[in-house]
Amino acid sequence: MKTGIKTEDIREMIQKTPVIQPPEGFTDRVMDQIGLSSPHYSPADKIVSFFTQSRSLNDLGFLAGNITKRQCGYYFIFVGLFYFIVGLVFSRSLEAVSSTGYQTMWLPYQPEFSFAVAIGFALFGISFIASRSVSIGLYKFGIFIYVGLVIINSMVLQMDMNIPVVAFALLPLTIGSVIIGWFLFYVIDRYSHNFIPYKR
Amino acid sequence: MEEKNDNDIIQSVLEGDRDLYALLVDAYKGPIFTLAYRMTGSYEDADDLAQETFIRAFENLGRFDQKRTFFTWLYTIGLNLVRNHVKRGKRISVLKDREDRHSPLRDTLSSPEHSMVSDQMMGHLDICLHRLSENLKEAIVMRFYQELSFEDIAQISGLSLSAAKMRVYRGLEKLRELMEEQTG
Repeated sequence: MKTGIKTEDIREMIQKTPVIQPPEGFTDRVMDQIGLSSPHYSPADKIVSFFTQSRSLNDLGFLAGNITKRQCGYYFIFVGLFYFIVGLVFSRSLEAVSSTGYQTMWLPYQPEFSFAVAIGFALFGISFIASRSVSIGLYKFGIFIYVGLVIINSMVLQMDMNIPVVAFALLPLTIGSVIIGWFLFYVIDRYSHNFIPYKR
Repeated sequence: MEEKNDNDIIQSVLEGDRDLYALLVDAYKGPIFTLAYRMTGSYEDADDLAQETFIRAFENLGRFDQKRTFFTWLYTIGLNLVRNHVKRGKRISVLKDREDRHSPLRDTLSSPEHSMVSDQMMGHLDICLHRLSENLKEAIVMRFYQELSFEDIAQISGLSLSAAKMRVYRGLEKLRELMEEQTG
């Protein structure tokens, strides 16, 4: 006699099976058995792992595979360095602009704005590497603030200068900054994903 | 949300901070233990196999490719140990634990959640699961008991994505047939 069990019924039954937990003190017993030994990691292992590690073209420790805390920190520092250079370029350029007698309210503050962003990212990067445990939410919030500030800065600058052609120069810069923000957010997100990829 | 990446922990362990390995054991003992229990049907064997998995992983941590996911690597070690164990014929019927008055499972099985499904049907499900071939059982345990993604299942089993999906669906269909036979 057929009872008409469907595969959905079986899935549902499995969902309702109790979760099996290891006995109490499991972790302690594992650690006791490990004792004072250390993982085997001979020079030969290092050489073998170097040549046998999975690699891809966009690899070189960049976005492929799992992202480490140190890598995340370096990405922040590199972005900080980028803004530092942008700040230097602005400083030089503004000297030339001011010599023509052209004056605006907001434009003169662009080097300071860039240097402030540079310092912020450098601090983020250093704290990311140095901290023992990382508050992912805080860094994500920081990236949102950065993207918001960049957009507001571009809008204010456009209104301040009031020259239509400036928008064409600001647009790629703003889009580039948003892409940087997205990239950092993506990196942080990837970093935070490597924890517990199962539900039960 | 305070978190520490698996690779950071592994790097620290390799650099000599052995105690941090306990974080990885704590994080993954559940799924490894469940795998061993569902595959062997014995709580005691699952305990031994899960411990052995973590010890083997620790010993070979230096060979772990940090561009892979630690969990899938660990799970692969666990699965290989379970396979060897089952091959040696050390499997014990799942009913042994279900009937064992002293089993730590006893309390879990009497939970309110469990009362929603009859004991009899759960018994049938366990019996049918253990009547599946090892490959199909592995696929069912990974996909439905542990809710691993098909990508993870493919990586752990060394199959292509489509082959992993096919195996899961074949396992589910076979389990349904066995359940029908059992309850019919």
